Amino acid sequence: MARLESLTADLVGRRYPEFKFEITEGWLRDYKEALFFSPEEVADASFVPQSFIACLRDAEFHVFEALGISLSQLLHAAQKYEFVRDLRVSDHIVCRATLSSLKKKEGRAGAMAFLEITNEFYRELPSGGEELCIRTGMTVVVRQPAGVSP
Amino acid sequence: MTALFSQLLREAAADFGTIPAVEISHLHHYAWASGDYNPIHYDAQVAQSMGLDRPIVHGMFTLGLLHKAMFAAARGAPYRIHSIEGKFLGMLFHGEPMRLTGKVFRREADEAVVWVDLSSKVEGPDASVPSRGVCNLRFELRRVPTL
Repeated sequence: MARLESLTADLVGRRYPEFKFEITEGWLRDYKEALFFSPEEVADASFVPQSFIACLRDAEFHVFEALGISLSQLLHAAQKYEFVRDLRVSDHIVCRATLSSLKKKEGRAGAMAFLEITNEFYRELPSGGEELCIRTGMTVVVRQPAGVSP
Repeated sequence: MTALFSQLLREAAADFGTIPAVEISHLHHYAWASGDYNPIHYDAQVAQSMGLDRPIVHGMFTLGLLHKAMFAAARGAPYRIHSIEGKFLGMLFHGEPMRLTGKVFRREADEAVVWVDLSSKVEGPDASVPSRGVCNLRFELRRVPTL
């Protein structure tokens, strides 16, 4: 588990390896069923809920892994989305994550770090180019591992 | 346009009703669909070892349910959700229904952009127990051309 001392200001702006996803009909159906969409909406393969983007989180999880942060140290504090273009079924999506902010605070429960990870999701175009579809920002609170005195 | 959305625009506030409780089987299903397998969301023993009474609902699941509620309300209206800013205020345990309330807090450019705050709370067992905030989302709705 990452000690907060290892999360230093020079990490801000760091980019992480890209992750690729294909939005398949089966994956969409599973997600829509999990979110209690109506049977008509589940059956409509052309309907991609905006919130489906919450499934494309490998890039975020990779950032935590790269920083040595365990999920048990994390609290999800805030989340932002900007929906520039709608996702479509069969899209090939590339996600690039950046550590965009890092702040440390002394709280009642001890030292904490606030991290913001910005993810940009691009659609790969048949022409070889790509276009931005969604930008997300995830703010997490990282707590010092148990047993480490502040 | 739904009656709920018309009311929201007209009165700047609307009761979005209650979202039924999420149960453990739903949490398993969501973990599988989303790839978020943190056991704090479905394993009672793990949740207890983290000092929780029972498993908590994934924050992104809660957020998805609120997002879906706004999407459903705005169906047929000439608006598209352009951005969302969400804050998690407290944990939602499985078995707890959420009450949603919407408020318009800003209008721009002759209603070409409407900002809506959607808040979710778990209500106490009776009036003496205050309700507990779960998640607040601020939606930026942009008007789209109608055919």
